[in-house]
Amino acid sequence: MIERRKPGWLSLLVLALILAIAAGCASGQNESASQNNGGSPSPSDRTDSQKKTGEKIVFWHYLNDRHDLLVGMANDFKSQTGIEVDVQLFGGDGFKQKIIASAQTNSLPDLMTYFGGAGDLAKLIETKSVMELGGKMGDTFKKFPESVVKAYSYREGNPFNVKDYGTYAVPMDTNNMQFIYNKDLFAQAGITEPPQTWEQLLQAVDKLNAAGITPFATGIGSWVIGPMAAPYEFAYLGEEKLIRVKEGKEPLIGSGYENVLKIFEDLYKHKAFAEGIATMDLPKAEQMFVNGEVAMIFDGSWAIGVFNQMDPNFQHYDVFMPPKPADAAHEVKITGGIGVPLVVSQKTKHQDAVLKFVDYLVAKEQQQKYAEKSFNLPANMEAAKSEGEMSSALRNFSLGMQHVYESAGIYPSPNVDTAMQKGVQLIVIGQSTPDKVLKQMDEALQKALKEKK
Amino acid sequence: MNPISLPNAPIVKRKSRKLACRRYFNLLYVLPALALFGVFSLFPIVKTVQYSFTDANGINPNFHYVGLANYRSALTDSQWWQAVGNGGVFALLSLIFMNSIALLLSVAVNANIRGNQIYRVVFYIPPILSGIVVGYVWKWIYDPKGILNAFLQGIGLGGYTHAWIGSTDTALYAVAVSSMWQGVGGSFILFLAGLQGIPKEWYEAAEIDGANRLQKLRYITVPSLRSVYTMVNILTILGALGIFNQVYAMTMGGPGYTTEVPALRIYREAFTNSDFGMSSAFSIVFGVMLFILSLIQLKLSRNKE
Repeated sequence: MIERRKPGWLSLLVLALILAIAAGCASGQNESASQNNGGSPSPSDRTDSQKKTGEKIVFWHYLNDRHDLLVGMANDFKSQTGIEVDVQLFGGDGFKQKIIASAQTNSLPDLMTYFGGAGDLAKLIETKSVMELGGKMGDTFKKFPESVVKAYSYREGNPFNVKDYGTYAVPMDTNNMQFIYNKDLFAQAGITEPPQTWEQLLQAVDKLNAAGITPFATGIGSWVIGPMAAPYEFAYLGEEKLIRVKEGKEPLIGSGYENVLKIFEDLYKHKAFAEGIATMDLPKAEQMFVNGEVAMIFDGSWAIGVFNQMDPNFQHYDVFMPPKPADAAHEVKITGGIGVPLVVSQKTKHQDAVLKFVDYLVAKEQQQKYAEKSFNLPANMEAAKSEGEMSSALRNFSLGMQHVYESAGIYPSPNVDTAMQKGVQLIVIGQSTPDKVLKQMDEALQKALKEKK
Repeated sequence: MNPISLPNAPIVKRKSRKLACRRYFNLLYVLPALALFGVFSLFPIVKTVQYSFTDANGINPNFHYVGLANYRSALTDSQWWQAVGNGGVFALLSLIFMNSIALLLSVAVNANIRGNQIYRVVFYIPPILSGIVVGYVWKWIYDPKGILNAFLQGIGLGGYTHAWIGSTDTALYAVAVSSMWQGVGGSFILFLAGLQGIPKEWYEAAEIDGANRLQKLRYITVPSLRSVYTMVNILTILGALGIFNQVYAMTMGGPGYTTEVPALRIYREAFTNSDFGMSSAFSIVFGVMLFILSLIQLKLSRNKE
């Protein structure tokens, strides 16, 4: 006799699970976002917001050193408006990948700090993942320097082929990259003034070596090569030519670009680099600088906050612009702009609340507090001007904002940049030459141009 | 017609139909596993193949088909082949040194030496650590002012101190050592399992016949572990060629392309260059290469058997 089994309750459970998964996969579309009038939260806004009990926005960021500060600001904002901000920290290099993955699955948070350049953000604009803010926050953008706002503004003829013109990021702070030097070690080597020309820099390197001090370190093993080369790209080629060369409209070989690579060779020949420079990352270089193991570092204005975290007693340093070589015909311009861009998801269901929070973050009071606590340059001009007790290093970084370039042009393929970075890693240890690296860059450029055609 | 079967025929038919129904119904139990396999294994493979023929950037769902352009570009890319070559060096070093050490350790532990239980655990700790953590630990060890150079100086070999991962002469081997340090435990466990599967009677019989330790190793242990070798070798080759974490944490492929490996190139194409099409093409080329290597290894071991 065949045993009659009980009804398959387990089967039903499995079926229910499958149905649940299917239902989960087919979750509904986001509701259309409401309109926002921008500006700071007014009392009437507050009343409206407070009525919306339980309104909560999600804010992703990668700023390990500023998490507590942002959480504190979010709490203040909640007490003023009733809107809760869930500040979520995702530190580390994976933040950009997280944003890409979230954009692919339509699961971006309401608000995020963006990690990447204008070209990277262009891809999110193309997929309508992020919101155009210029039209909605016109008054807010008046608070920032024009050059900073332009960093993530896309106009007709932009190199990223963005068709939906507008401004897509609000700057929370600004930054730029320059040389930072240890005053004590310079004095120890008998150097009284920071170098004004490239030749003076090399002399300083020689003096430091003679005094038994390692002259220089930076993140050659990571992304720093590009920003360190940029001032010399402008100095030797000039803006127009640089852009044309990068676009492939003028030949790279013979353009004068080899002089840019020669600055790394100069430093190698003068024994400027710390040991292990070819694979050194920026945090390691920063640690060496704070420990007094090297006299100079090429770093961003955020480094002041980093140094303070590593050793609050380490204060005896200052900043100088990348010195111009005597044979360069153009002005030096430096890498900089928006330090932390705030980007709003196009799919947010809380547009009003998100824009209010953004407005709150970039208001004068919050920006002053932000600069004071994080040692970063405020984006809000009023806050920047009102900084009375600014250190010399922070002031010099602030002054550097006048020399920040708007666009350095882009190669048709990032492989050209990679060829340069890899080549420079070899130049700094004497394993390659500017000519060889230039040839490799040109090969990558020609390949990219051919593929583009 | 069998008269006996006549009255029972409808019952048997009904029973067999019920059985068939139940069998089909039971297949539902496999559905969750199938669904998971489909979503997390099959679907990504299909999408990777699809993307490899496109100019997808990883964000925009609208992309263009570019035919075999990505494959042409991948196969003619000298840096890619250099990365594959570096992976090959990792694989070769692992096969020779890592597996030999793993075999010796497993033989020693299997010989019931004192504290063998502890050794078993200790040797298996590195494989369970995160590759990134291992990379950073070894980066610290290799630092010009790190523990290795300090040790060399301490024993009077200061002339041999070196920027181990900052020099083109040593970077590849330095990363390989860290990778082998982490991988040796995996091979050790597999060899140990293989050793424990060899009947003790064989050794006893060999002892009666007067075989010494070396002879037992040569004529019993090594031949008995042939299938384990095959598996360990395949896993070692796949693991070494697919190395990513240590390289990412220690050198990012530098100096220059000295420690560039296939997985890092695939990652860079996808997440730095936003070229998912190219990245997928590299992935497929790499996957096919690994598949062929595994087949060759299997075929060779079967021929030996």
